Amino acid sequence: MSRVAEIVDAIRAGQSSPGAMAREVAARLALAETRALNAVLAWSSDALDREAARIDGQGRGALTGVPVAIKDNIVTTEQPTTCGSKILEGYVSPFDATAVVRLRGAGAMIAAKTNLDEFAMGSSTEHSAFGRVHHPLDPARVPGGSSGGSAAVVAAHVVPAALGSETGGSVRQPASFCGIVGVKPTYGRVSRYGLVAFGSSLDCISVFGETTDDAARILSVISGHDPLDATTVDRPPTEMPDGPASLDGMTIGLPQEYFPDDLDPGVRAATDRAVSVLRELGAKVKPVSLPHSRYAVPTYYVIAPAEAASNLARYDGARYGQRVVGEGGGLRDLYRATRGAGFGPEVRRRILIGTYVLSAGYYDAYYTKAQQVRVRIAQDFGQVFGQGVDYLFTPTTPTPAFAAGERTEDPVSMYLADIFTAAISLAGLPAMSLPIGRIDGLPIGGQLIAPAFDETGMLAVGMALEQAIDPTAEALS
Amino acid sequence: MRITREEVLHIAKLAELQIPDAELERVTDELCRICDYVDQLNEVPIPSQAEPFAPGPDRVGLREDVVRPTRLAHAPSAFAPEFVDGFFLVPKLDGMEEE
Repeated sequence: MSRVAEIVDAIRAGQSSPGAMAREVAARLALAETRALNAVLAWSSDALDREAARIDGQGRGALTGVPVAIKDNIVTTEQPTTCGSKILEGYVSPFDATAVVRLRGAGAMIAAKTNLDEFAMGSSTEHSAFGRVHHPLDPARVPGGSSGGSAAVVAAHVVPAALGSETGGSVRQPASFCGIVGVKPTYGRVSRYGLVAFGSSLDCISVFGETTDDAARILSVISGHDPLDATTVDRPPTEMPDGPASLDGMTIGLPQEYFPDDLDPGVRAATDRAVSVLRELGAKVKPVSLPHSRYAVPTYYVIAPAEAASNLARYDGARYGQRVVGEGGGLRDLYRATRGAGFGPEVRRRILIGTYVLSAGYYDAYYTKAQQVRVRIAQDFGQVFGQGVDYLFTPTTPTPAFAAGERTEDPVSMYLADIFTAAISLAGLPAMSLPIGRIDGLPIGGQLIAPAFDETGMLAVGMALEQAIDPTAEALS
Repeated sequence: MRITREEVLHIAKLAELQIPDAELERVTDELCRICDYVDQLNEVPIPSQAEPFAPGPDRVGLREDVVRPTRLAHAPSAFAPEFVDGFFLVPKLDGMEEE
């Protein structure tokens, strides 16, 4: 049974209470602080007690008493929202994100705001103005990113579930590194209202869970149309799977581009074993090709920075956040000094790249070209799913969690951490990562990719694989 | 391709970003490396009439255009650097007029 279901059932049966959960989570958060994970940016016992009192006063819901951590780029009125940036230090939003409103409406307890790469730009959670997040199993390594704080608190059993956000893999990649489940829904499935904008055509609020069932329960609450986000699709919320899927007669495609010759041997061994399990469960497994996936990372690193350069123009020191008055004392001096001092190096780098690819003379060569390649990437998935393939299976990441500092000096090598996740984000498809084994104690994730809006079917396949595989088994033993 | 220091300074001006002199060389080098990396997109043959890709709904569903009260948990004065009598205060526009 999932941890989320256990909590809901215990409270429903009178064996626990929201107040007891608040005290338990406070103790776990305090313990996480002593372990110096640096995964949490804001929490307090008082706030948890207020959450418990609020939940006591409302009717029972699907998530009554379930503590959920929130990535600190999703706005909340009760805690600051910093986006891991000095430019927003101390900012408290005047409204809650729709996903937060829905969680609270279902009885969930907002437990903490979690650390992240600044404005969700990064793959290691080393680019936070408030220090890097440590991997729960090996503090010398990174937890992945950009939702590394949310991944770490779920992996460390502080909370059973957390919200993160995806732009190019920022939930699936840390889920893989930390040995938990990460689910990215179809673009438009979950409202972006209250998610601080980074790459608007890519951003998706996404979910971490200790198990697939945990993540599915959260997704079923936060998904669905929202009049406050015109890009949400007018469909009902994602349904919970009935249970693990029967894989008899199902076809799982293995895109050959995601199994390159230089794939880490441990990752290859873990994915090979997972593929064997899928076969044993009755699935027909066949090789397929997504030929334009090799261009996903360069495409992503044109489109996402271009959208970021536009979205982050709002941080100007005029309306909210930190203000630095420049030397000349004029308005433009204010803009430049505030943004120069408030943004960290990776955010500045992406704003410059985005401004460059949108500037006169380079727009067609970079931005238009990337948009055209994005079409090809999406068409590849459409063709494969149109040829009788039900789901795709790949490794989530090319390596297990890497050492802190290993890639911070080389932005391109950091960007390649998203090589198996970026194409799915560009195509707007749902995907999930689930643990399928370990290498030297470090978790390896397998990725399931589904056709648009088939989250429920994908989650059911995830449950079947999860039930049949030992995620703690060493892949190379 | 090679992006020059002057181009980086021009981009920074467009982006309203101050870059310290000490960081300029490193930033220029990083932008060059990133652009060299994304230049591989030129390998992909694309027909001239290719349509751009837009994820999400086929058509944006507009809600009724009705003015409703906006309930804010905190007033703008609580999060704005300077807010007086319903206005966000900013420095004089002198610097902008010069450019």
